[in-house]
Amino acid sequence: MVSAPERFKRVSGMKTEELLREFTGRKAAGVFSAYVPFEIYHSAGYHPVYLFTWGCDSGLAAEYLPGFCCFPGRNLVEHALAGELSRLSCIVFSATCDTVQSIYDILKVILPDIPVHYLKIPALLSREIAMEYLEAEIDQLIRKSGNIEKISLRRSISLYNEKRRLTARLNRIAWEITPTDYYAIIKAGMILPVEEYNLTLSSFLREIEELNKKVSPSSSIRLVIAGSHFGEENIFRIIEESGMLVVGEFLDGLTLFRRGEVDEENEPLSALARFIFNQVATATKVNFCNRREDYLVDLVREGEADGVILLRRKFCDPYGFDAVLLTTRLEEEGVPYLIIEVDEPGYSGQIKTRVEAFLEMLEIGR
Amino acid sequence: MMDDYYALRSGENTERPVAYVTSGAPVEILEALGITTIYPENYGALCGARRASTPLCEIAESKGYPDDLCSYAKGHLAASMKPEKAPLGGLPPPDFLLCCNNICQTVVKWYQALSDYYGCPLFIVDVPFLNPKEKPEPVYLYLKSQFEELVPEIERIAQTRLNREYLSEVIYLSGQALSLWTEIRSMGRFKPSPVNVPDLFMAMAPIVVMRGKNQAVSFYSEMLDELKRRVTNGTAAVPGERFRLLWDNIAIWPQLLPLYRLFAERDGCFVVDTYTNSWSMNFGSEDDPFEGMAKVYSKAFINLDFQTRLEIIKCLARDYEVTGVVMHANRSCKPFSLCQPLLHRLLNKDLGLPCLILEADMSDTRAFNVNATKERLSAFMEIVEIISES
Repeated sequence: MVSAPERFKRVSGMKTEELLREFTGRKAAGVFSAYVPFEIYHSAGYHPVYLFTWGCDSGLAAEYLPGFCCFPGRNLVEHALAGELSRLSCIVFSATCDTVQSIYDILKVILPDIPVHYLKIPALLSREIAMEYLEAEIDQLIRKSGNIEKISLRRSISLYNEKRRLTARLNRIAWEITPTDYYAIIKAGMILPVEEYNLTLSSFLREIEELNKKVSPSSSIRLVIAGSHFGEENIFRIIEESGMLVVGEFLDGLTLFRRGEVDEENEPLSALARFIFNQVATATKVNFCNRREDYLVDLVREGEADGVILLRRKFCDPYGFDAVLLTTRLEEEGVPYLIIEVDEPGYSGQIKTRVEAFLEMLEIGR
Repeated sequence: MMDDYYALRSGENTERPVAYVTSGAPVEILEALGITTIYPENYGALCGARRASTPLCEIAESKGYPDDLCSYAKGHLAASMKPEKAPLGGLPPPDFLLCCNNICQTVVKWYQALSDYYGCPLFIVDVPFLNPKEKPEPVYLYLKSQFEELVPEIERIAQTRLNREYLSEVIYLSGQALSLWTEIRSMGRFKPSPVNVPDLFMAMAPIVVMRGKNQAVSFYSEMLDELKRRVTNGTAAVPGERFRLLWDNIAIWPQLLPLYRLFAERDGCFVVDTYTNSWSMNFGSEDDPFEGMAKVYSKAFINLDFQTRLEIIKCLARDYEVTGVVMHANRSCKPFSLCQPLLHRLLNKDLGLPCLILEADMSDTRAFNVNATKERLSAFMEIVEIISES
């Protein structure tokens, strides 16, 4: 019998093609950007799976993209050209940044046999007229994804709400597990069928909560990790090797929705739109009511974190601006931070050295 | 003309309220409400052309903005923080900001940063990405609702009510300028072309910053007359024109004249481009002014899906009898640049057009390598010559 963390780790370490081979029973919908409600595809009979980055540049994408495209964009095009997305029944994008829009355009040309969907998310997520527009857009997406009955959509919403409740429980005890386990569990939630994920995570949480296996809070430096994420597992490994704990994550590509649940009593379409609106915006959007810097500071306070590691994506305008926004606020609050520029994933000695220097600084600060 | 424009927007000469607006914003509403508008993107081009952008970018980088971020945004943010180091002493501080994301998503974050810096209100006109082949009506409706919501906000700042008749007059003037601009651009169809794209780049400021004003209409009427005279007299923009080129993307402002001179020396004239095409629009004859504006502003060239843009470029290439395409892979403008390698393939395959991709930046000189560019340009023009003569 494989333990829950082992199962999560195995799945989170699989590349998309391997995953799709493992879950051959259902057609798969590959999701590339934030804000896509997995519930829609689940209720239409798909297995929604997030398309994390995998491997390094082989140069294949260079024929289709300039060098100043971010790694996740290059990586997806590379996998598409290599035929590694051919098992997908559809690919879903949402309007987040200019790069995502371009990658959507490119994939439509290079993968003519796979339907490519695009959910238009308003840029400003705090006004009612935008919500009405989003409702219409979600309705379009539902029509594109197949014939969905309301009862089926409600069932899927309920399952994903359950997943959100479990993840919230996990986040409360994040510091009791190793950073790489924590990462693997969160990442697996974007990949595994929701039924299996809920079952496995639920039993794992029961075990942990029963054992009450606590790591002494005073013995280790506590971190929040934030920024742009598309598969930077090695950052978590480096943190773990440095002896620090992750007490919270604010990684946009790792968790798509952070606040609350979809209202199961309400009409599903407007409930989904309202749910998206109540979220903390990703770096690509603006939400005057739920500001990102406030969320990050709350996360630091709730987790009693000593500092923040901020992942800034290379060639990414939204996260370039976001890093200044977040760090300005962290400085005002007196929270130490370290910015790590991320491009191709990989174990970097230079990053390890910087993380260790940050650790020393935090220890002195204590 | 632009000196006068900026003179009226400096220090105490500035009539308030002042709004910073993006180049594709529905400025007619502001114009009709008597708001003084300022375009940070135009200022970015000015900084680029004066080769002042790079030191400004370095100031922004020292404040934490990464080196791969949009150079217009960085240059302007630095000019706001350190006006004493910026051309024209920077721009007057805004009373509010109007950001329209029909040109890119980066402007949303740029304007959010400005709003935080100046502590002033930010209004966002959100224009979803448009594929005209899919039902565009929901996008038009969404935009119309936004205009209706925007008006009372601006009225409150302007302390006056919007006169809808005056708005229609402003839209009429704006439409006239856009029509004249479209006609000016179409003069490149003549052989030899009376206009070279760098001329358009130098003359485009009024269509960006003076839409809805009489000055823009007068200026472009005169320019059109001059181009017509040139056609009558057979005056070529590039004497001895042999090769007719299409330019894709924003200009490389710091290299504007030296770069195009290199093509002109090889008898290459840029008869058409995609960048100034963004202002070739028509308000139509909608009864509801917001309806017309919604249609125009959602169809900004760069807000369209790739297939639509490809078709537009193919039409331009055919109509202007283009013999080669030069694409500026602009590190600061991803929506214009990321699909260029694909565009290159398809133009080559479908129309047999030779294409050159030049990697640079619209205003930051650090991204431009003069010698490498010269070498690639020479090789490209040789190919254009061989293909043109075969």
